[in-house]
Amino acid sequence: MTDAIREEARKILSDGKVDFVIGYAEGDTPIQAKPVFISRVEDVDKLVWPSFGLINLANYLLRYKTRNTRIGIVAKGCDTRSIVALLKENQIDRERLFIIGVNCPGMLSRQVAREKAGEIISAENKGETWSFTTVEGKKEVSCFDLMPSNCAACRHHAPVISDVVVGDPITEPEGDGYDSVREFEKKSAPERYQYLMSEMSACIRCYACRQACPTCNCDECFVDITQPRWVDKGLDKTDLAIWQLIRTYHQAGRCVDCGACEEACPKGIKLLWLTRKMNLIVKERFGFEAGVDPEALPPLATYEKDDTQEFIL
Amino acid sequence: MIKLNELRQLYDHLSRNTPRNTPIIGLKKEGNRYYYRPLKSYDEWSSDVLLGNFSPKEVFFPQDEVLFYFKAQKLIESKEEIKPAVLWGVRPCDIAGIGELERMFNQIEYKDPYFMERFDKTLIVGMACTEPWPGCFCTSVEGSPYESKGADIFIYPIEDGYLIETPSKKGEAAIEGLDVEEVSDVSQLEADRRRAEDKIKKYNFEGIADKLKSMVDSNFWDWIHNPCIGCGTCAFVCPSCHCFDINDSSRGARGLRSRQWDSCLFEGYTLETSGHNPRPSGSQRWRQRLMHKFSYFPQVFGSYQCLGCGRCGRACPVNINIAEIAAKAVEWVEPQS
Amino acid sequence: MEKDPRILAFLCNWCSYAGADLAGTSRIQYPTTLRVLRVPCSARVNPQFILKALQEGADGVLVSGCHPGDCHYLEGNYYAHRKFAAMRDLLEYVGLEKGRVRFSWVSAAEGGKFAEVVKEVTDGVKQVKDTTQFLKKRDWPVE
Repeated sequence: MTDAIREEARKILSDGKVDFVIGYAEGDTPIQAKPVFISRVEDVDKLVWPSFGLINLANYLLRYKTRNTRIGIVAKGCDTRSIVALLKENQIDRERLFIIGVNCPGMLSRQVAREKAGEIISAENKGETWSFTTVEGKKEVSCFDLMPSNCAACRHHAPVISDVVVGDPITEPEGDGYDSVREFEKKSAPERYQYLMSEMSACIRCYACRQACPTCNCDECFVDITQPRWVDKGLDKTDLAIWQLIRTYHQAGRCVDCGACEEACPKGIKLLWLTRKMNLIVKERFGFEAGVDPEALPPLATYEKDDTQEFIL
Repeated sequence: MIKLNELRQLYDHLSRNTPRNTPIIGLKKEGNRYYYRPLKSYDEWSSDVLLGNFSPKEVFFPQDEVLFYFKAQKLIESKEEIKPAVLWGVRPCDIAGIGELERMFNQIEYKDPYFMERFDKTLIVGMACTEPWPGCFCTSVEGSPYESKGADIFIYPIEDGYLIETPSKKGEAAIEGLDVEEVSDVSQLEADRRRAEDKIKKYNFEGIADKLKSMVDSNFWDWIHNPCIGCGTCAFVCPSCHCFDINDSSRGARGLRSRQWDSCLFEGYTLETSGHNPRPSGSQRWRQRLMHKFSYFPQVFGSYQCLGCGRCGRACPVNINIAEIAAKAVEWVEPQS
Repeated sequence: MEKDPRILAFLCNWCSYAGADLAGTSRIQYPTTLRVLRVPCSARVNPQFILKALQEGADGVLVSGCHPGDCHYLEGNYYAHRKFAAMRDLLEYVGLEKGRVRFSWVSAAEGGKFAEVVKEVTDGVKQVKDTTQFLKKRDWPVE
């Protein structure tokens, strides 16, 4: 995969089709990939196909909204869906974009690795398993166990739009991937509220989740607005919960379940259980899935006369 | 220096000889991360962990702190009483970080009473790092895994026990009554220090303060900030980042004024009321971050504001390593356009 | 709950507000639990307002607009409906007690229906066990 990506990147750079390519490189700390911007052909070998690459590279496209740059981008299935969501909102130009789509078999998560193994000091890949040296000693975890919930729930491994595709096609698993949501719904309401509050009270408002998300791209986020002040600064529990709830609501029809927010959180707060529910609401109520159909209108920007209105008095 | 066979002796001594309910704050596992939290017992302490995921600065400088309350024109002081505390088992880089904060908050003209009260009432028990982590780079920023400066009590783990040093009077008083013999031969420590220092990756930051000063308009910043997504993770985990934001929260005539941590990488950090933003792009914000740590701070206070703990690199969602960037800045040659 | 609940009502200017007016001028009796906030259209109500109201101490929230097809701005209430549907389902998912956030369509001619809606919503809020969900505590010292 790495070789194929390098090959394509080299081609478009030397043909002058793009000014630079956004891709993944090996990170400095264990089990982390970092985004790189390659503008010279001789640097192409820095590109890799990472094991721990939950960063959504479509995020970086927003910076070039008003600049006349031609960009190559290495995009997983979910990243291409984000690109579609951005195109839909006129955030980027398709003409200035060259998408190296990747048939992504799923990424591994360092949040999960931390959950399974502990505080990791060094890591080594042994094919089907990863061997971690942690503060509590050595631990082996299989790749399957390191998969984040969003990759396990993924039903769009193949790129939705692309100029070239690398990697072998992947058979989509059965089911719709929303089992975890249905499982959570079985809990009682007070339990669910309790869970929301206990997860969100850990938030430190570093906004890594928002910044890591390509579709969180408002010029001014509601949480930063001071007049009126919708959400007080500080660490009040209700403020933190409302911040995440409104962020989730704003993701209706835009979230592609790439998992970048959860992976970015320095406190390891679970965020996908909220956004995935929003995706399910949008799918069941409005028959819409983010970034799958480039032609469909965003669900909250349109309506059907026969939308079910069962909850209205 | 004195020698102890078990660290528990010192812990018990401190918990017995401090006023009732004095918290002993040390590294503790919560969820799957390590924080500096009050310990219930010695066994709760995660002794194998070098650094918490978050720094001990929150002990002195909480993320969200009420400064005062008000009712119309009347000011009501915050009633929270600041009690003495023991900060247990912090590493030299974090101690240096606390020192930087103290320098910042304890200037001749301006003293921060909130920070200073906590600082004065806390006994800092430091500990040397025999096994540094990959990602540590304290030796490149004038630190050392065996540096006891700034601590009140400092622990050196040795083969058959622990050597205890008391660099400050406060520390000396705290261990008074601990019934153990003095050790005079501590030559072994020098070898231990060198061995630990050799394990740490060394970067060359020579002349960086002046170099950065000449790079204000450099192209360097344009590509260095590229991967940064502009969150506040690095500043929030940093032991020496001390920027804060002041906010009022009110309802009717009553309200409170509080301060929260802020980060120079937030877009709204420099946003002015008029709507003008003096640092509108990521490259300018990154320039500020690096300049503050490696140029402005050394100019004013004579030492780097980065202590080489490497937390920011580990916590960063996109794996930006400030040491790499600083080292690149030192080597940077402006391309001829 | 024992005491009378306090319910914040967002009423659209063209239908529900006029409906409330009609209920008043027709002397129809209904509970005095509502605090009315007039908005130009139900689509003006950002779901954020609802959460803010709960946080600031409202026991319940009612949003009311024109019937589908009757919107003064032709289609505002259709969009509003989609927004509320998404937010409502999300709030239910995170365990907000049922009956605290309600929606209705009331036209300017439906004074009677408005009174019915208020009764129904008030009864619903009275059933709620815990109205402190999302309530922001402000235990500020008095002196």
